Amino acid sequence: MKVKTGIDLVDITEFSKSMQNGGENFLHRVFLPSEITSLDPEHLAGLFAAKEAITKALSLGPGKWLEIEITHEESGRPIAKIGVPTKSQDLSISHTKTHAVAVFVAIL
Amino acid sequence: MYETIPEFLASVANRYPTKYALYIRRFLRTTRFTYREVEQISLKIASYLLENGLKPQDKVLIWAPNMPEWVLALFGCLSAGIVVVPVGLHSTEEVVGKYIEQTRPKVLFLSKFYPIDFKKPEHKNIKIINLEDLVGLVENVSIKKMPNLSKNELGEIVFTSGTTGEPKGVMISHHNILFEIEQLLKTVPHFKHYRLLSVLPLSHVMEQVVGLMTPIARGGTIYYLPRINTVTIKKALRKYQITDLGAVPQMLRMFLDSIEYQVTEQGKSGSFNFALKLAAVLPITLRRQLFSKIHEDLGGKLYVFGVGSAPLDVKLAETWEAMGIKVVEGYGASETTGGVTANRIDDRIIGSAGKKIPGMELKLSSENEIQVKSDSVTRGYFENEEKTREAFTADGYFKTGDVGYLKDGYLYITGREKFKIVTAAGDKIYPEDIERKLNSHPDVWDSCVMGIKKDDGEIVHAEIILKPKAATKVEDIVKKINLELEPNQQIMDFSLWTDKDFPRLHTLKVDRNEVRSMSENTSQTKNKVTNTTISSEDTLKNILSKVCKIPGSSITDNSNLVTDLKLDSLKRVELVSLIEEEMGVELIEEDIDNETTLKNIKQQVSSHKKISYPYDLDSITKKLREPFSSYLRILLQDLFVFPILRFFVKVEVKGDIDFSRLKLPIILIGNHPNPPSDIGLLLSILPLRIRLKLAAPANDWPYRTQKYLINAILSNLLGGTFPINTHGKPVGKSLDAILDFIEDGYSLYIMPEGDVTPIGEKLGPLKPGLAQLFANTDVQFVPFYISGDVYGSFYRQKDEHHTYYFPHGFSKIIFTFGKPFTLLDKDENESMVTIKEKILELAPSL
Repeated sequence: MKVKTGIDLVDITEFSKSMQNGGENFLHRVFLPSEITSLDPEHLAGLFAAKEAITKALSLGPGKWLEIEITHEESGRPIAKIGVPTKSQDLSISHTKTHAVAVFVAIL
Repeated sequence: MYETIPEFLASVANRYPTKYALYIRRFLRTTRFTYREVEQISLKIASYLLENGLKPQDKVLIWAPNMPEWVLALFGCLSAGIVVVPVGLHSTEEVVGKYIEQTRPKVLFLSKFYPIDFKKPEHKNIKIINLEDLVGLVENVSIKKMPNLSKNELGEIVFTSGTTGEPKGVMISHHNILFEIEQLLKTVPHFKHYRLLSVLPLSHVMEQVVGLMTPIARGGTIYYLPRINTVTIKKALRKYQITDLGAVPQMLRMFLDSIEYQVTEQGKSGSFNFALKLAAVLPITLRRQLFSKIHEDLGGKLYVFGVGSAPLDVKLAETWEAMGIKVVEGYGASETTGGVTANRIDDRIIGSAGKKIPGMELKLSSENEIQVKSDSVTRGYFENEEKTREAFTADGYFKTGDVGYLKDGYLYITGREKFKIVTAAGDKIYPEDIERKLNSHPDVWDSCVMGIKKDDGEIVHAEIILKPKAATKVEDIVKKINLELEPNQQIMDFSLWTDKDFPRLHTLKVDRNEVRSMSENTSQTKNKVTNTTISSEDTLKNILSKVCKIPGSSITDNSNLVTDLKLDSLKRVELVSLIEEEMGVELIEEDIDNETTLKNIKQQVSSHKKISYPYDLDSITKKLREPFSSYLRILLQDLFVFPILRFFVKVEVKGDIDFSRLKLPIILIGNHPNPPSDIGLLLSILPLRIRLKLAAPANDWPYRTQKYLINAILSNLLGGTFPINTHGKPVGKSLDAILDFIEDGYSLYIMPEGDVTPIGEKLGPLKPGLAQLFANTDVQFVPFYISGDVYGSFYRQKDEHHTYYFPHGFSKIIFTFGKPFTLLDKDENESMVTIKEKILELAPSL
């Protein structure tokens, strides 16, 4: 049994600028249509942090954004759907006014 | 004439109530406002601000890129008598801090994509409103009675200086603006359709007056872009069929460079140059024919460049004129609320700034300084009586600080007084004169000339930016130009500027002070040039510079993207996205790792073929829109397709739907059990009024695989379909095309499964792209379900490929239509659920 952890912190200002500069190409490279429930940079920065945390935990390598889908339970709790099988996993996302942070833990 | 801006706004709203005034497409979402909506929302914004403690003459800052909401905020504030302080997007917090200290604003309007985290605690207390949320914020606000405003009511404070010295806030009244608009309208002919692309910053009063309010006075539509670069501008010119573009000379140069580059790549330089010479003797209509490919690339409707803000190179203007686009140059200043002089569309002299606009009194001082008196001239600088006194003559003329001369009524600008160079011999030299000569050299992209101290005076120093693939060394350029200059104008000292551009003020003029400062701080020795042959991979370097926020001059081929340029995962995505947009090359992020240098990226870019789609979507959708295409389709449908289908299939229509009463456009949405006969039968039910403007996205598999292409062609011809990528990464272009059709009043029929309905299932999984486009919009969906003996007459396709097949029996199919619905107030997830539910409600039990 292996425990894998990943964490990522995103500066929302920097994320906003990258999103604005990168335009639709940026959006569609990183997010699945089901994830774009809002174009609010805060919301998307949180998803980005989540995907980056998952990438780090599972050593997926760069550019695998669309292989990760972040959805939410009715309670609002985020869930990650990934191609890599895990015995158990958990994801948490949080925001301040200036930053979004995500932590992902998986048991392989 | 109107007394105040709200009066003007009410008047145009009455004249053009349902015409679209403002438009932007952001992330596959269109935001647009009719004239009536602009007026109403502006009043709601005004009411909201007044309700929340603001009073007339309170100040607000708008610090955001161009967008319709910028305009709404401006009109809203002006309606309430609140004073707007527009701020250039790329202003630093230091500079904005000075504006805040001077004007003490109560509210700051920002863009959520350019958030600011103020460092000074006192700035943190200013209320921030994101422009993108503004319309939603005031949606339910009731419009209050507006305060009475006088015509001399202060409307805006526009700052004109950069970081050096105290910035001066030019006071602009409602009357200044309205007077200027009224005079400009006398110089602008009436066109039936005015479609203007606004790329110059609204923080500049010239753009507000020339690029916003004057076109609005004529019922024009103004288009804004979320990202401005040559790629997005060109796309917009084509998409929106732009007729006028306000630009700075730099933009004209960039477009021309791009054309010349393509011409060179195609080996057509000789014929291009010959065509330019030939064009000189041709009327404009023939010139446009001669350069038809260029015009097609620019949308085909662009007739005029309106140019100002910086000296315009005569050769540059002449080249555009030769290609059939009129270049109309004007001159003005913030203090004059825009134009003082302007060339007219049918009365212009290249190289001049045109004749004075009606209502202007113009004179030249003994030192040839241009001085202006008019109702459009500011009454002075905000809380700065000293600067105000200094800015006016005793008889009330505003001293522009620019030097020029008049000839036959046309004004010619020589230069700016404060930038002049005074040599040891006492000669006064204007840098602009020398820059004009330098910029006329074919290998020079831009230049900035300044005086540097030597002995008892100054000598002429030039910073020069070369074009990519410049063949001439900079020292040889200087030698050549010196031969053309006066003895006292000789360039004695020069440097090669290795960044793509000079630093600019928010007015887009070169920030000469900053150039000087950077020039003095550079480690390069004057006259010593590190590399004259700037590589054509400048675009790549510039993208990297932009993404990593590091000056281009610091980036070399051996720069490691991660360790030297600090490229992290976020910036990596931004980088590949920008490379894709600006260079048309799709890089894979996995190929950029901790070892990657600029050189590696260059190799990757040059080895990747440009993204080439297996089909030209623009061309396909353009042909679909042609009336002939529509009539032909209907003829073929009515004469052949429908009779054949209906011979074999009896159709029953259920559901309470009256197509004749439906407000169009609509999106028909349902299952897809047996293509293409199910589609053909669906179309046979629809009335002509819908079929005349009807299109459909269809799986682009035939184009991608080049198999069964005939199916795709027939589908396009008979069904009005256009290709869409339904697998893997959604293609923005196809989704964009769907939006475009709806906005143009076309109804669509869409099979949201993106594929054939699996046998034995009522409905397969839905592709989510539709929800992304139409969630929270009022576009009408009409659901339907196809049931009955769907395979009874025509073979069901046996595998994923389309095949030809022939009827084998008679059958009856039932089309059940549901009540129309919208996805208003539903987010993407809810939209998907709703669409599925509405279709399945109509399905019979299996």
